[in-house]
Amino acid sequence: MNPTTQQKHELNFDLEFGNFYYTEHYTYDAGYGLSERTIDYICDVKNDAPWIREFRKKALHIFLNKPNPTHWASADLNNIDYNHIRYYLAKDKHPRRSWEEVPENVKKTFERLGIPEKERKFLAGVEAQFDSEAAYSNMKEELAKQGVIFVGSTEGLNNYPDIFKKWFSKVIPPGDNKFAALNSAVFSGGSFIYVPPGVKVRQPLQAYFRINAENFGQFERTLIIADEGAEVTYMEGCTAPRFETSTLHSAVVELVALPGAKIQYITVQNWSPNVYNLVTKRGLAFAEAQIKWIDCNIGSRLTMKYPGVILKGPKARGEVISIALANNGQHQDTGAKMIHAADETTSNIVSKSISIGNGRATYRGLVHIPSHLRGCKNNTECDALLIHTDSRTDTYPAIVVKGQGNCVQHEASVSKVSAEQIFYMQQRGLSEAQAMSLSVNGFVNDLVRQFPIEYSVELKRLIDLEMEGSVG
Amino acid sequence: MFNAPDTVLPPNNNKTTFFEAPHLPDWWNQRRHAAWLQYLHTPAPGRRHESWRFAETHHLHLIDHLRCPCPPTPATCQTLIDSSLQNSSTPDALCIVFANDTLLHLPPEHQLPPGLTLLPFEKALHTHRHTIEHHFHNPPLSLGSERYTYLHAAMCTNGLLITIGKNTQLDRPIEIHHWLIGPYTGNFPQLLLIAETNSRATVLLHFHSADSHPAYLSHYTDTTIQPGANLKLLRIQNLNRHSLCMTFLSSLIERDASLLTCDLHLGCQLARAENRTRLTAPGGSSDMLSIALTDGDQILDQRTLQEHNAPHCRSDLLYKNALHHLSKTIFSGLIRVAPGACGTDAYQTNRNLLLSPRAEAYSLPGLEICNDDVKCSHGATTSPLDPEHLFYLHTRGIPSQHAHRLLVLGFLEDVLSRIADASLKEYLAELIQKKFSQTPHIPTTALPSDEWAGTGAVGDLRVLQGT
Repeated sequence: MNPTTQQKHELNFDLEFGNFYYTEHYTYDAGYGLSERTIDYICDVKNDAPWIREFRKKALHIFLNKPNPTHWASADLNNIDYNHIRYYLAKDKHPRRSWEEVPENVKKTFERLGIPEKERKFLAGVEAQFDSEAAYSNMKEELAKQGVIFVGSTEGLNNYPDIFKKWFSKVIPPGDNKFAALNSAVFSGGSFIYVPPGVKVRQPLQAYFRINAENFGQFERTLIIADEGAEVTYMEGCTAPRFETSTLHSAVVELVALPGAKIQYITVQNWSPNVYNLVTKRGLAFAEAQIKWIDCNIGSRLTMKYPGVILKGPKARGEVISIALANNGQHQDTGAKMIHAADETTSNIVSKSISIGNGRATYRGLVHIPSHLRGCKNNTECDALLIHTDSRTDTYPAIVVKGQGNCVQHEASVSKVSAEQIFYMQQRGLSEAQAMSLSVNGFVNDLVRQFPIEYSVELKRLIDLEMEGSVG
Repeated sequence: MFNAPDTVLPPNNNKTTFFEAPHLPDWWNQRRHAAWLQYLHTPAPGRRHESWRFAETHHLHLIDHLRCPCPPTPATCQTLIDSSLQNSSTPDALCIVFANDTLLHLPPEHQLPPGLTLLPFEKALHTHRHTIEHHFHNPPLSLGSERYTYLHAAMCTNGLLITIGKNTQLDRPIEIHHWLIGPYTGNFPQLLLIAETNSRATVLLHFHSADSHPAYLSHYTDTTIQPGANLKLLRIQNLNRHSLCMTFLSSLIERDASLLTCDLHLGCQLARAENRTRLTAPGGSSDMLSIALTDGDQILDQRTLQEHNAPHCRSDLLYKNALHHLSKTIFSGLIRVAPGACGTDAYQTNRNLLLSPRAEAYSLPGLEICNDDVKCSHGATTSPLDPEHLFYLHTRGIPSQHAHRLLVLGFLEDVLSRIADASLKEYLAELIQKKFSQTPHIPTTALPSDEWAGTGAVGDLRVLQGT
């Protein structure tokens, strides 16, 4: 096999990376549609405490009463039929601690996605969620000895209620938006992480989310608490097979960084193009704490995700690094929210988007500095790259500045791949497609470098794949 | 707050006769009535409307209490005409004066340069029905104030139709003064401005208050810049501190034509300005400039749209605000590039200088780009004066207050420098200086508490100083 065909072969395999599924027999199925009965079913299966049941029902009420936010968001939201979605599907309620115990089909799925292999290589802990519940969860022993907790949200709720309840839904209350309410009503799965004071988790913790079933909604709920001076990096990846009908993913992720803590949250989202990805992510940073969201959106049909940081303590820092790639038929509506709520807080947003074919990439941002603060700073940069004449990009920032000595700067630019650059590279013997791919990778390179090395390699490859066939 | 009068617009008792004004043609009266019904059916905007995000809508209640304007007395007429002539940028300007929508002064026809037609709207309605129907509010502005543009269409009885004939190069500026007189007066003047092929002209609009009563001005400009024409349109808003002002500007720029608009906002309790530029043929160029110097609890709400519907056009927007005291500015702009508009050059910049810890600047710069072959960027910055700059000036022996003033004027300078005309630039600089010298220095601690802010009760902070 010559090198080119081999490369081609690899690429073809990778293009279909997540696009497979095994028929699965679920023990628990809440059926189609959403009503109080669905909630009761989920609560009964999960053995939820009464306050959770009440919380879920209240959230359901909020969800049903809130209109779709189409006055500013994409009208595509109206195409979601909430009655044609299954809200809870699980084979087993409890995750397995060892890989051997995981059911055969689920194991095959994750093995094809390379989960245990990755864990052996460089991860401190892994959780793998299959539809509604975690199928596998494990963490290195020495971390457990240091008091680090890394479990599924249900387990966190049952085993560590005093820490969990204190912060649960405090950063993102159910009334925050329609999809946060939906998640609060039917949440299942997700991770709960607690890092005790001063503990620095050197290797990243990882979760892997997989949707396997058709007409299904995944609603994981993640809560990460880094106690004073603690540090943790968390990575999540997502895939789903390509079905004809649409699938819904609506997660809520809450981060709490107590004074001096550091949390880094990395997402590589590669849902198949039938998934609506409507996610609410927000962090709460206390004094001198740092929260950094690294967010990469490549898949899904419509993504609406605006990771935010509430800078609650003095000198807290929030950062969002965002890469979005919108291919044909995709709308990546991403952005960032920085809510300054203490003096001398700083925030930084760097967003780069690439629109290919008729894809649409949108940046939507909010920077808020109220009047009683002083010495706050924000920097926002949004760059968009358009590959084809019918590609589309939008930028909708909202900047509110009051108070004393606060500085904000926002800049956005739109450009296309320079014909001269392509010409230069072609002259050096690269094909047009290679040149294009190189140019696009160069555009996001400074952000990709901030990803852990394993991810940045994968990301580069994903970009190459997305670019394939987009030229000529 | 003010005691609201009972009468509302249009007068309830003779509503039908209001829309059967005998001096206006029937078609216009019918159109006004239809617009009135639309106004009644359009709900008032709230902050939840995307195009009213961050806006203060409670000041709009003034509109519910408006009275029909009374024509000015002959004695006031002369004073206003004199004052208008004094306030014009040059003595040889072609000066048109309106007070409460009544035409007071129009240069006699024999004094007009050849190629220029100035027609009071009242007359044009009878003679230029086709032109008016074609241009008046067509297409609608659609930047959020639909309700108030309907009200404008319903109430509009006067204004101007200006045509600058083919190849006409005007070296004298046309200056239009609008005066608001009396409490709760509503003025709804219209300007239809057509710059024909290869013409060149400068038009200045001045909005003044004759007294300190709260009043409402709704000014709508529809302008068409035909191929190769070049127009400068400056609007100077200097109403009193209790008034409410909405200015609408809809411009259409044809092939190789260029339009420069510059707004200077000095007065008003709440001013909302909506400005939409459509570039419809290659080579079109649009410069949109604005300077605002706000103090007290003034609110300035600006919404803009740069619409690129044709290839190879350029547009450049620069809006600068210097905010004192409790004032608040909202800038919401959008550049929209249509799928076919390749070779577009579009820029949008909003810069805010916060001169008080209690001032508020809101910035919503937006882009919607549907073509890849474009050069587009936007930027928004908000910050206080750089203490290092102040320090530098102090070390050179410049006292604090002067240094302050120097830096603010310097900040606004690059907007002025975009207006190539030196005398106009100087005229605007003078107005800015004047406003600056009238702005009292109030220490932060002396600013009224939040509960007063935005209520209109502290309309004029000079009161606080006892001046």
